Amino acid sequence: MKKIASAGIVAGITLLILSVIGLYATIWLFPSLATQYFDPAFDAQSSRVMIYFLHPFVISMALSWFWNRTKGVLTGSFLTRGIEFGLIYALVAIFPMIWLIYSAMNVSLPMVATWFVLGLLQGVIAGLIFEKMNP
Amino acid sequence: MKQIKYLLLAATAITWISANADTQNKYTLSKSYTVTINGTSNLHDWDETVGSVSGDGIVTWNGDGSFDLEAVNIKMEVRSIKSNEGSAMNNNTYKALKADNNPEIIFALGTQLKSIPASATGHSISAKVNLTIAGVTKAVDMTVTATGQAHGNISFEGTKTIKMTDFGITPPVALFGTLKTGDEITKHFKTVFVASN
Repeated sequence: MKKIASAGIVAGITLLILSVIGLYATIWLFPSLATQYFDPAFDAQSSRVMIYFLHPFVISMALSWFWNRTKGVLTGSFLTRGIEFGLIYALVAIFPMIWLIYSAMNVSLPMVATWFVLGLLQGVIAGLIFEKMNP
Repeated sequence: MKQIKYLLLAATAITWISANADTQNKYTLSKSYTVTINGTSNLHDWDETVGSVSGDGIVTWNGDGSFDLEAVNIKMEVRSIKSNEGSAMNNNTYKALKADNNPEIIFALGTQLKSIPASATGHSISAKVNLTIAGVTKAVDMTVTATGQAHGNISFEGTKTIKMTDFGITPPVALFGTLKTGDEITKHFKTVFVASN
């Protein structure tokens, strides 16, 4: 339990940094995509915005528990296990969710594509951290 | 006795001529207008164009060819504002300007302006204007270039930089606060008023 919590916290801090870098990277690399976030559907002036900055810890804790339950079936090197874990998370959780969002909400394909890539990166990075801290 | 009669006739004629030399005219805004809004953000500068503008004014022409601006009212439809950044920015503009409750930006001349020369090359005038944005009215000073011919069309052109926060508007942000618009926006307008009576 202690290993799950400590690995989850370390992954949470790492993913928080990644998330903030991701926000600025979106502005620098995809300016037209960044402008789409001005749509009132994304209420950046709401107090709920702070919840976004807690999401890395929610994901990391859930993934840390999931890693602890599945690490036995993941074989191979440090990189193989981490990447495979991230891919499993992205395909099982992120991809169907993105599919639903794209079908139901007025968001562009490039926008949801960046969400998928962010989710995949989060899964892989979390997997690599778990592999080191809770092999 | 005859001389007194002539003097009285002359005085009456002068009074009549001078009374009719100043003619008050109603003016309406013609379709040939340009109203733009420019702003900044930490991404890049942005531009918006106001699509629907209406207005009227009252002008008194003086005997010397100059005119007095008695009243000018210009209304701009908030939902006709279109951004070069597309619909996301448009919707954000309508939300920031509280378009549901305040569908118009209103520009009203605050004080009468006297003896403006009707210059074909343009004459710079300082005007006090009551500007209503998002339901908040503020008196602002503007420098406007008035161009016109005696008893003809009059055009006004000017630029004014204002702060959104002065009108109770929070400068829009996006991407969880990382993408920010600047507080200052610049409005540029070019309008032509034509006599309507």
